Formats: sequence, structure tokens, C-alpha cells
Amino acid sequence: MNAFNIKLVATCLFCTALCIFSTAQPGGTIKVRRTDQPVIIRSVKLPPSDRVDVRPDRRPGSSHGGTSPNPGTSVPEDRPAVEVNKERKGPANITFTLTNEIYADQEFESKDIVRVFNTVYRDGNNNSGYYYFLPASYSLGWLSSTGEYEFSVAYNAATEADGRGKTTVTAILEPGLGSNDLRFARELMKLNVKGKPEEKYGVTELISVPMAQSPDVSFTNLGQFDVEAKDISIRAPSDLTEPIYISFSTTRIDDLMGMFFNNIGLYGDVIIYPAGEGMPSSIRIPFNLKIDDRGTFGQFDLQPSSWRSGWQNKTDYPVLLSRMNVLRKEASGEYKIYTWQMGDKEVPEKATVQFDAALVPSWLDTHPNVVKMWMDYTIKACNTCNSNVKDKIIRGTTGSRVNNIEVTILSPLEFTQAELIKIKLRSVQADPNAREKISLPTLTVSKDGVTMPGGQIFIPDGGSPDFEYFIQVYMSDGTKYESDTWKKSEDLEVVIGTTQIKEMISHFDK
Amino acid sequence: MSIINNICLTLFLCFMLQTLWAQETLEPVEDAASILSGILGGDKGISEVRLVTSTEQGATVEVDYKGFKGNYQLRGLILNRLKKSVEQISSEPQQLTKADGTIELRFQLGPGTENYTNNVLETHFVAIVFSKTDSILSGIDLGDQNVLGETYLYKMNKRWRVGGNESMVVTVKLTPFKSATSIQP
Repeated sequence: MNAFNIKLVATCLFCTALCIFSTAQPGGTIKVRRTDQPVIIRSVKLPPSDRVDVRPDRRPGSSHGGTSPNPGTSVPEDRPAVEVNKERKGPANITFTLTNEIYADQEFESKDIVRVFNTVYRDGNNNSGYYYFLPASYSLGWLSSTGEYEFSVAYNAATEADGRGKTTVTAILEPGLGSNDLRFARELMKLNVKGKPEEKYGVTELISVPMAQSPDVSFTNLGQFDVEAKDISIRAPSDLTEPIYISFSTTRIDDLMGMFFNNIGLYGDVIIYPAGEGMPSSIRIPFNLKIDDRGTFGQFDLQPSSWRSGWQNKTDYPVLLSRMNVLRKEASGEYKIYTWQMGDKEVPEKATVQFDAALVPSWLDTHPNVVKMWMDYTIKACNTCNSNVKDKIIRGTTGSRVNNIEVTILSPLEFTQAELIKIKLRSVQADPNAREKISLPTLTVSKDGVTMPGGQIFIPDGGSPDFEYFIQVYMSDGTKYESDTWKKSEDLEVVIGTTQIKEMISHFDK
Repeated sequence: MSIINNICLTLFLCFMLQTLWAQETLEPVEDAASILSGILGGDKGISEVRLVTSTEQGATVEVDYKGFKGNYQLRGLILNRLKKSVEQISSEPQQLTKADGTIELRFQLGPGTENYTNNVLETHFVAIVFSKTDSILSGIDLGDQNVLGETYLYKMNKRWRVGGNESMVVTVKLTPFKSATSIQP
């Protein structure tokens, strides 16, 4: 794609963004956000030194107080002073696209470059130099230092009705915005206003969009897990750079846990209600709660000064490294991304990478204009890793391992000539908190030679399975023969054959 | 509507066929132990061995056997290219409850791979060993394959996923792309 084409595409996307935002339709904003805008190649000059400390105002709607710099207010003494109103009015629906000003050899998603929503709003007062941003997305929190997920599962007491209690899931949604992102976004904004009426007022500060009311969280696919609206609670901060805490209760934790590890995750939108003149009534920012996702593990940043000594995959999954990128401010003032391919090399979890970097100039490591270095990657599907992470999350909460009982049916129906057999199972370990003995779902056996899931028990660390089962044999005339007593098992695999029927039901031991 | 029904039916049939094909029949290997077992075993033997499931760290094999009257135990061993048993992969021995039938052996890659420097472990064979449980010598294991039992060997090529660890080091070569080839200070 040549520069002209890229420019054309970007212009179209920018216009689309303007149209959609101006309609103030909550759903419409998603299209803009999720569009992978190509990086635009445009020649822009930037003053060589304009590094400014970015200190976002974290008070929505607050004025800038006495600390705001007022560039341009000093006037020559021999001329009458012209009063320029630099007072902040709050955001207006006048938008700028951040990553328009970056050159690259291939397409990037804007959030790969800067984790700020690609559309930035200008203040209603053009003279103020204030601009307003939103996070690009929210993702499940993960701490690389400890390998812990900001996600917990708390098992509540079992209920009489179904033998299983509700489970409360708590997750922290992180916007993943660092001070470096904001500093760089501000630099990009300075490039963005070049040649526009806003240029003479500079970029005083980039601050988060103030909110007219607390944000909402809308789940797209949570309803299928029997989660009612009353079971969802949200703790959202007034500052968009802070995390959002969400929790909800479900009786179907097994299905829900599966969702966190499948290919789409549990997703939805954080709905922001921005304050400001002509602003859309709401803006939707996507979130995704998925464990094995790039959003969770974030960008693999490299430090220019130390990257050659190696990098460790601290995640719980194997990753495929595709490319290393270096974003540099060129002598001309523009920004450019240089890319080195990594061949989709697989790096197992916890393994270390040794770089063969002979073709990466060593002067880059100390070059003052290198803004950031990072690696692009994909997470490789890994069922074993999913199991390990599930164990980690659940053990972190209950101190127990979750295990499944499996019941293998040999030929008891043939032996007893019965119509069907029911198998009841019960255990203290069926209660996640091990407070009382509760029943697992009864199994109904209508044919021989099958293996059936017997339910889930929570085995304490260092412990072994401990449950009981009971057999009821129903003849075609309705006669019922049942176990003389409950049989104890310390093995997760239960086999029901002739021997067990004879042992447990005296009627058949003849 | 009928088109949708036809598509659904086709997809269902494809799924069923895929399920059937997933059960791979394993090819017997005529090595010395198998030949000896064939001669000494008389009417006893294995009619078919199928690989039923194969996961990253597990495998399930179904064994159709016949003529094993008395108290027999069945064991499975996973072997490498040199037909040596791989200790890290184990399966629970199974007690035969009837002379003819089908029995399942589940193999699991267990602990012991913490110091592996490669995240893939390749194996090539599965050995099925029948041994009499009421024999005086039945408890004695004299090596990889129980020489006192009847051993049948089958080809089973499988790559087991070894969990990553801090001992593993992967070298990644960085190749410049387009303008990175001519980057200047």
C-alpha cells in the first residue's frame, strides 16, 4: 500500500469516526474503536526538543487551577495586552486521530502503539490547549511479577435446593495505561495539531474525559450463565485511568470458567457517559475477560538498555514471537516504527529467549530518540496450561484442587436384567468449603459399556478423594433393589460391574 | 429450510466421520517379544489396538483381547525410538474381568520433566503387557517390558507436550524488515 492509499483509507476512517461519534449512538462508537486503522505516512516537522512532563488532571470537570502553563500570554510591553481566554470549558466533540502521525512498514493496531483510544477530543475552548482521552480498552489484570491474575472465584455455601452453592467471580478490568503512554500520546497530539488553528495554543495537557455520571458495564454474553442483573456489582472509579472492579454470582461456574479459556472470552463494553459540549451521550469501550489473551498479558515491552541479555516468558502459556518493533523519533521530527521479524518462534511458558541480534545495530540500545521497543506475539492454545491456570485460580481461593469423578459402567444392566440403574454420590468434598456433606447429581444408567461424569469435588491440597456412592436397581416391573449401605471410595474412577452389584446389593449376591 | 437441514445433516455426518477416524488403529510390530508371546500365548492374543484420544499430555488406548482366562493384569508402556520405556509417561494397570473383551489404558505424562530443555517429547511405540496376577513370579519386573508377561508391541508415534520451565532457552533470530535493513543513527 503506498502512502497515498494509506492516507486515503485513513481519511475515510477518520470521517467515518466523526460521523459515528456525532450521531451519539452508543453502539456506533464500537465500529470506530475496533477498526484497525493503518498507520499513516505523513511528513510532519516537530521542534527538536519539546519534552513535557504530563500530569493528567484526575478530577473530572475540575479547572486547571493555578498550575496551568499559559504559553502565549506574555506580550511585548510596548503593545497593548490582548486578553486571551485560556479557560478550560471541558471536552467538545472535535476529534483528532492520534496515530495519524506515525510511519511504519506494515500495519499496526493503534492500541499496539499507544494504549489510548485513537480518538482524542479537544476542549471547547480552542485557546486552552486541553485535550481529552479515553482508554483504548479494558482487559483482565495480570501481574507479571507474581504471575497472578486479578481474578478470583469464591464459593458460597451450598443451598438445599440443588446441592450446590452460588459462586462469586470477581475480576479487575485494567485500562493498561501507563505514564509513558500518556506522555507519548501528548507528543503525538502536538504533531496532530501542526498546521491547524490549534497549533498556536499548543498542547497544554492531555487529560481523561470527565464523566457526567459513573460508567456502566454491559456484558454481551454473561446472560447465558444464569447471572441476573441483581447479581452483578460494579465499582467504577471517577478516573478512567483507574481499574474497574466487577463481580457477579452464578450457579454455573464450570461453564463460566470454560468461557474464560475459550476463543472469545467473556466480553462487553464499559459505557462511559462523557461530560462536555456536544459530546456523545455515551461511548463504549470494549473489555474482554479472557485468560489466554494478549489483552491480559499486555504488550511485551523491552528495555533498550538491557534487552540483549534475554527475555523470559513469564506467562502461563507458550507464545509465538512474530516481530520486534522499535519506535523512534526521527531527525525530521516524525515517528517511525522499525521492525525485525522473529519467525513466529515458539517460546514455552517460563522459558527464556536468547536473541540472535547481530542484525540489530547496537547504537539503537542507547539512542536517545528511541521511544519504545516491544514484541508482537500470539498466544498458542494449550489445554494443559488452561488446566494449570484453573487450578491456580481456584486453589488461590479455596486451597483445594477441583477434580472430576468418573463412573465407568461395565455390564450391570445385563447382569441384573434391570431397566435402569441410578447411582447417587455424596461427599463433604462436594462442598467447596468442606462444611457439610452434600449430594452430587444422581446418575441414571440406561445402557451398559459407558463412562459417565460423576460430578466435581474439591480435594484439599495434600488430601485424596473421599466420597460415597449408592446404587439403586430398577426392574422393568418397577421393583427397586438398592445398596445395603453407602460405599466409600478414595478413587476418582468408579467402576460398576457385576462384582460391585453383588457386593453392594445382597439381593443379587446369590 | 430444507437447504439448512441438508447442511446440518452434512455437518453432522462430517463430525461423525471425523469422530470415527479419530480412533486410529495401531499397527502391530513384529519384534522378538511379540513373536514369542504369539507362540507361547496359544489362542490368547490381541485382535486390535486403537488410539482413542490423544491430548497434549495424555493418550487413551483401547485394547481388544481374547482368550485370557484366569487372573490377568494388563499394563501399558510407552516406548521411545530405541524401544526403551519412557518413565515419565505412566498408566494404571488394569485387571481383566473376563477372558475376552475390550479394555482401556490411559497414559499420562507426569512429573519428572522439570529439567527438560525441549518442550516436546517424542515417543514411537506402545507395549501392551499381559501378566498373570496369581503367578508367584508375577510381581517381578525385570526391565522395561515384563519378561514374564506376554508383550505385544504397536507403533504409536506421538509428540507429548512437556511444560515449559526456566531451564529452557530458545534462541530467536531477528531479521530486519524493509526499512530496518537500512536504519541509520
